Amino acid sequence: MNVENTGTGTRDKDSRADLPGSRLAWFTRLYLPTIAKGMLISLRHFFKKPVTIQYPEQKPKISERFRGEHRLTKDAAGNMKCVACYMCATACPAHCITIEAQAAPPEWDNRDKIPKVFEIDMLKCIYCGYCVEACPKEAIEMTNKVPQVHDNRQAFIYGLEKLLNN
Amino acid sequence: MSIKEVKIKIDDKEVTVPSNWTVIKACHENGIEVPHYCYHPDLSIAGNCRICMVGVKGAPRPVVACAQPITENMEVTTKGKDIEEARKSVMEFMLINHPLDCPECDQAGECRLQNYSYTYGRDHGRFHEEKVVKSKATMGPHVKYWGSRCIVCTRCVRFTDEVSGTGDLGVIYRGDRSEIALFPGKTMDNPLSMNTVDICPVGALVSSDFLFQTRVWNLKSAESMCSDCAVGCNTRVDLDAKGNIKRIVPRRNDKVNKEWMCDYGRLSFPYVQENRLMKPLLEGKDAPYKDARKAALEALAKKNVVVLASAWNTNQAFAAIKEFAETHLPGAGIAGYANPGRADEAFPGFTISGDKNPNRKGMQEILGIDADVSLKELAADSARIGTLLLVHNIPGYAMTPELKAVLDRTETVILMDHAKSDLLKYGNVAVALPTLTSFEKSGTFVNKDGIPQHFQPAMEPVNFGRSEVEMFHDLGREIAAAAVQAAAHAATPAGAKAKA
Repeated sequence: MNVENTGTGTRDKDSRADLPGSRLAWFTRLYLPTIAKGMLISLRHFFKKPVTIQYPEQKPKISERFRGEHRLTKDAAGNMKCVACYMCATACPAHCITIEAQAAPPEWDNRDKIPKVFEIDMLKCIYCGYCVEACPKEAIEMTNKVPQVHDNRQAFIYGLEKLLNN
Repeated sequence: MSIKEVKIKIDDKEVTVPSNWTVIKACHENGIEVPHYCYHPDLSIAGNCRICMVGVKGAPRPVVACAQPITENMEVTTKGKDIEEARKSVMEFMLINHPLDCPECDQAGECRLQNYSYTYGRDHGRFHEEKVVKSKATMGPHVKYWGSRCIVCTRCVRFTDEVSGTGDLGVIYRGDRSEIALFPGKTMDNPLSMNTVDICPVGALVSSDFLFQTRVWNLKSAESMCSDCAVGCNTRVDLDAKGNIKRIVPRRNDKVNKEWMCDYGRLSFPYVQENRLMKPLLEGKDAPYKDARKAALEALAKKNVVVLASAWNTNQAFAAIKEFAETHLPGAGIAGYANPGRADEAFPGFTISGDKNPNRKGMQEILGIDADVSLKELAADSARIGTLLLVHNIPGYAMTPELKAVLDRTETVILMDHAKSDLLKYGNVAVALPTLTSFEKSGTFVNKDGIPQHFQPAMEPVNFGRSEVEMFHDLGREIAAAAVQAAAHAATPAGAKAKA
């Protein structure tokens, strides 16, 4: 920014207050050509295909790679893959994941630990996908489900049951 | 051979060390990190993990620093390509059969295998063979064993041989199948068993009390001191995000506890959360501090006042009691009592004191009272006690006949305690003032060897309590304020008239 010392304090040379009105040409001061230019752009869009859709009657096509609501995955035996290692909670920049661990049932012989509580606060979640990246067991993934709307805050806290069936 | 100071060179840095040290000790004492699993300063040398490789000038190949004695003019190198290579190979061998179950392992975050993998590990394994799966076992009431994670450094075996002297553990099988096991008919139920969890450099031995509680990187640590017995072990208190104590582990102090600690002390913390006296009680009901203090002062103004303090209080509390009694309670007796002791539990490398009071010595020093003698004398005396100011603070106190005899001939009891203990049930407790546990306040305890140790609060107070020092300060201030008020009233015409 150009700043010069006028002796009465520093003043911004480019500030609007300093621009004398006479600097604009008379043609520009009419404003009509600019308005006409804008109208022309609007007019052109009347003949283009609209980009909006009639949501919610009409659903948008969402990419397979969209980062939507989370899902906890299951293994071949139908057991959840999560081992409550807290990696997702540790990686989460929004601190929206709450985990409490417990010992796995003895018949699940391929692991020692499973989550007792696994909660994602969807209001806090910023859908960055770091939890998916951090997971060493591929136990959490993001669906392409658009984040849902609920009418109370408690409903936004997704528990184990909801996430496993999401 | 006599021990003398010899000059050696470590990484071109000249240092002078005693001739009976090993290279690893000389490096560690001079601030040079040498990785190690099996070496522990308080245990014998095993030299089986082979990661502490260093170069010694004149030696044809790297040597293990933990088993290499110092010699005059030795030149040691701890860095360099060949040493790095040697350590990398050792790491690779160690990880051949390691299950890499870090997500499920409680040690993750404070695991030497993880730390050294970060420095010396490869990013992938080169072995395609099936991993050897070893047994899982419960070693004792507080210790669990995951065989597959074990690197057989034998630290735990040496601990049970040398420090606890129980000899519970040994190595069974050979080669890559070797693992740690209990000798037939033995369990690790001795009160030092959880030290093996601390010294296990990997996640093979884990504490069943801390198992799956949290991940260690979510813990906040605070330095503290154990108040469970007269030893006064230096501790580190680990708290979770909500400020609850999750575990207590020992902190090195060679004069007091080395790096050991007993299981009683480790598991002593639940009383901080349980059954606390949250607010002052006046005749058994919650009351504001102001009213409770007023009632306490009224009771203390009676005749035959005795202040009875337990050996669980800090030096600062004793000093405050002494000062308060001398200033405001003329003619009041000061007596002490203690948690009844039991026999010392002596192990070859560690002694758990049977005196379950952290500050019996401090009481002797500051109040000049022997706790047991004092209570016996007070119990034997048959004079009626008007008001008993009982500064208790003993968690899990079992009522003794002596203290019961004292309480029975007391009209009013003012209790300072951190818990809603059985003492409240004795009916004559007029005022109960909530105090803090030693995890929540600062102070000094003098241990059984006469070593004074200061500690700082490790956590936020659970109740609305105040430390004894603050409590006596408040009471003293109230008395002073009342005196000023009375003097001001006497100076007014109305006051003068009333006096006349």
